[in-house]
Amino acid sequence: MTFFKLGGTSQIKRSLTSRLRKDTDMHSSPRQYLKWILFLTVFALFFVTGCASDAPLDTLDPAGRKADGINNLINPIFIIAGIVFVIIQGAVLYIAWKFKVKAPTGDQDVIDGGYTDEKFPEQVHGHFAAEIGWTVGPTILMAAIAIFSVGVLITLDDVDAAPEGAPYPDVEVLVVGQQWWWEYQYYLDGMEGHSEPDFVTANDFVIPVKQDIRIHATSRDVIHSFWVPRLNGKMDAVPGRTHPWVMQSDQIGRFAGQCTEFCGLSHAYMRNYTVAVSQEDFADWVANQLIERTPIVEGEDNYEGEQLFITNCARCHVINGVTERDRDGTITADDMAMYGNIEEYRNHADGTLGQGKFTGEANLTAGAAPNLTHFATRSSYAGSFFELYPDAQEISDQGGYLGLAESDFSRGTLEAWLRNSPEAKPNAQPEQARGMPNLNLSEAQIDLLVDYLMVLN
Amino acid sequence: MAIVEKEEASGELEIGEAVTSEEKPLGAFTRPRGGNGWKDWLFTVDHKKIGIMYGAAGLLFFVIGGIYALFVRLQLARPANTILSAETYNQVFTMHGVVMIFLAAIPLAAAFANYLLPLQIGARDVAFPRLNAFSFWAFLGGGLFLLSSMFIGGWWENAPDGGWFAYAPNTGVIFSPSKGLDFFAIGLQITGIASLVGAINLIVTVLNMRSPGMTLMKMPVLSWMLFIVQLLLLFAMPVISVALFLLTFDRLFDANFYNVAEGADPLLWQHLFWIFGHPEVYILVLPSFGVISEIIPTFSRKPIFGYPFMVFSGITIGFLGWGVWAHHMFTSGIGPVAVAAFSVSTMFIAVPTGVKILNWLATMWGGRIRFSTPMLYATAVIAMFTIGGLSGVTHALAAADTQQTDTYYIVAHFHYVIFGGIILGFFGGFHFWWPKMFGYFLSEKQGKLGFWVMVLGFNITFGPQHILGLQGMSRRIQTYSQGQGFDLWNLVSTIGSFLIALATLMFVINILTSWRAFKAGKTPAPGPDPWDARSLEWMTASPVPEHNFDEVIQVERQDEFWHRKWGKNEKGEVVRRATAEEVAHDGSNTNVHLPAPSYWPLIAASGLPIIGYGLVYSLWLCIVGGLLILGGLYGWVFEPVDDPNAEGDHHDHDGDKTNLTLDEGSDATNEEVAID
Repeated sequence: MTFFKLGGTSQIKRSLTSRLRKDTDMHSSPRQYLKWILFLTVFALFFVTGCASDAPLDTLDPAGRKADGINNLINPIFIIAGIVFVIIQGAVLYIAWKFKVKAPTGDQDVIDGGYTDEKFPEQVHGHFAAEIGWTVGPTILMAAIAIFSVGVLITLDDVDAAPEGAPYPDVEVLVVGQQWWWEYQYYLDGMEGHSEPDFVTANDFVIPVKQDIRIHATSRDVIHSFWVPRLNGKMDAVPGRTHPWVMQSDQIGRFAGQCTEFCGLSHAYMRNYTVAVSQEDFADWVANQLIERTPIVEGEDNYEGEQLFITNCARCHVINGVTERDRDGTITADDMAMYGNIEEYRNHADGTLGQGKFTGEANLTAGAAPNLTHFATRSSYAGSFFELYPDAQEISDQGGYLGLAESDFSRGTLEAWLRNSPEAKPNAQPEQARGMPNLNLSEAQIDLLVDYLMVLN
Repeated sequence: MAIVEKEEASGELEIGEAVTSEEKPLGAFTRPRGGNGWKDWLFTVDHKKIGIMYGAAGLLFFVIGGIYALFVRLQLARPANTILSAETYNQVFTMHGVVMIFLAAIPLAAAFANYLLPLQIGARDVAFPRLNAFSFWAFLGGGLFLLSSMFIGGWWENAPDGGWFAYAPNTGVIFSPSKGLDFFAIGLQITGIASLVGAINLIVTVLNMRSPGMTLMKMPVLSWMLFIVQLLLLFAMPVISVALFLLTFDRLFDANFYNVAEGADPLLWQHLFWIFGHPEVYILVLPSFGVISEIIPTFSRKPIFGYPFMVFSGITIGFLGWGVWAHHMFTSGIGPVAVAAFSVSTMFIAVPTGVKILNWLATMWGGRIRFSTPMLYATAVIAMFTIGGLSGVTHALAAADTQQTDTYYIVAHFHYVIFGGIILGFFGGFHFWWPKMFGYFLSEKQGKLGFWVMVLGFNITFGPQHILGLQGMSRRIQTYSQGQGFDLWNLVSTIGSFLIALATLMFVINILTSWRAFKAGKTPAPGPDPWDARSLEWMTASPVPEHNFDEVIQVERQDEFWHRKWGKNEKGEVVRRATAEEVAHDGSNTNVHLPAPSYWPLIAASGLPIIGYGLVYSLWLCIVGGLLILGGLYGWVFEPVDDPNAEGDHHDHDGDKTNLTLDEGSDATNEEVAID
């Protein structure tokens, strides 16, 4: 009720009308839009400069056939989107400039929004043909893009025949995600008809160059996603399912990957390297991977290191020929004890344990840690978060991956990892028995272990 | 004053003999009376007060969710940063997503729906006023329950850590042993009840309580969009409820719905979540589309261009929204046929959104556009949402999405949609309806400055994230390494996020300083219609009186209010018929019968979070919560119906001497059913 007595805005408006009538129809000068133009220019510059910088995970820098196909699909779409972007933003700016009426200024600040005159533009309610036009037009555009897109999509998963003379033309790899690292189970003659892989490795995924490698992604615990952006898009690794995917590189080199499905505590630290080597190198690498170790005899070099490994690490890690792989993805009560107090495990009110209770039987909790038989041949460890050889990238890109063990390794980082791994990478969850716990090793033990690990070539 | 006396009486909740039957023949069931104190807010059933409370709670949660975001940005500002541990980071980004979607965006949309929908259709209140109050209190209870997970059992020990999308099996007890995901599942269940109840309420309101003559196709676009949203909520909420029930049973009662060891397929959760989750996107964005569809015609001085196309494109978005959920799952391993089908359906949802954008531009075309703060925000929505839509098309291409999904490119995309398309629209709506809701203007000077800081900060924050994503930066990572090429743009993004925080602060300061300026008489009262607007909410006093309209409005045309102000002369020019003050009701009718306030919605709703705590900690508490709900419902059922002649009945301007005989005309609002 009071608004009426205060005079209302119409009076103020009317008084303003006379004062401002002259201004209201004037368009503001383009200068006022300088900030817009400036802003958009800076924004565009951001993009141009931003994309030029060096990034190992760059999705726009394909090195493989599949990534290249995706890149060829997305580039024209970026251009179309860019054109639509310019048209719409241009229309917004043009309309804003062309049809703007100037606001009253001064102390009437607050009623800026009210019109000070009674002028109206033509009252257009719509235009049927225009509506149909901008319904049908985009529909046709979208249909064209859709056909184009589906065409690429259905070939994304195809596997071409291996090149002439490839030593393992049918090699397939089961890629297993686990919190928070990747395991690769190689089936040299394909997975069909084989129940056991020929060998198992971790972190570094080695493939022969210019050959489509059929992979099957799965997981032991939660959902992960296997992604090497320069070679192909990502594929989720889902427990209980295997998803076919393809890895192929056109060039020799080492390509960074990152788990992209949120997988818990150490998700950011779950990476991988995919290394493309020449066909000959691949044959040599496979031959080496197939070698089992023999236990070191007492008195020989690194005997103490191996014994330390057997007492401290062999619960989870396997070295073929030295320790047994007696379980698959399961843990035992002893394993649990390493993580601390089992009583802390989540209890229900009635005293029973929850779904995640530790039973000693197979459950989805990770127990099997990376197979370390050929640890020293890999460029990285601990979910590829740490580089074993600081020059690994350069050496691998030049085709020297198989000779990595001859270069210097980062001893300090490896020691730090053995000293207290949960500090180096947030990975040990006592109540879940996953990740590498702090083993409370002495400095002397760490030295012996590092020496031993580095002979595992 | 008589009011005070009545308030005191209403404050007594005790059931007992203290209340004499002479004064209160209904004993404990006597309904509370109106007034102006805090009790009036607690027990109110007025859709406007409930709308304002939704807005206030939504803004509060927006600020809290924003603080989480700032911590996320601080952690990512530099490579290998150590501000947040991985454990805390996972909880903080989860809480950011959950709070922003469920506790900020949904209630802000509910604020507009509650406040404006009855006004725009000329109704006196919603169909079920007490149910409306229940919705709000259930929402607030669920929200506070969820937030309490931060404190209970230690600081950041028990907050959910599975991401807002909470993919199974990472949400199982074995992988997330803290109680966080129990809080998540039960908290969202409670807010889901609130949304579902509210949706039913508003659907009935729209279908049954429109002013005489207001056919569906004469409703304002905002009302239409809000109506569509309620239908989406009605069908989407049960899906997430089912998913959350399964999760709760898995976690608390050893069920095996998502337990892979027992043969479950974890993709079940993903399908359920996204069948809810994708319509949810449109649940959030359509209200904002509605808001700017009101602002743009008003400030362009033209009617909305292509009204039926605006309505039907909204309906189309609502329908298509159900057929695109698996585009969140292109890399989940659902197979190339499913991927291709969802890829194509996703592309076509760009068509109706494109129609909307072009219609807004056509509305502005040829207009006399006044760029007041609300119009600036509305224009920014067109520009910014377009960017989000275009990046959306780039990942509708499923093959390309295998590179883009779960990277910062997606983060950039949905922030351009949710912040650029939704939050900016809501801020425009705040500035637009503020004088209507609170009877004073927000300062234009401060509003415009705040707008530029907001838009600049928004683009500096999320623009570079496109680059980061294409450069391969994954989502939800707590850290990155030097040499990955992410350093520069993360730092820029962090700086931008603080500009957004500054703009939000400026908005709060604007509210306070403008209020003080108004109180000091430095700014004029807005009158009923400060912007020369078009729809019915402007046809009553500002702030809106409790009874909304003095009499029932006979609607003849779309934009009825505007047509009462303006007509056309023989030359076809627009000429004034009457001033807004002449047309609008002044709110002086004291004779409108209104639904009385009630204790029971609050009491019944308060039982829900108590049951929640009971499920997490001790089942005994569930009995307490259950009794509260039962008691609340009992009181609800048995409290007196609105008898306009009875003592204790409620009228507007309570305390004034009111004429208790009914004026037929004024009471017709609720009774008139106008379905055509």
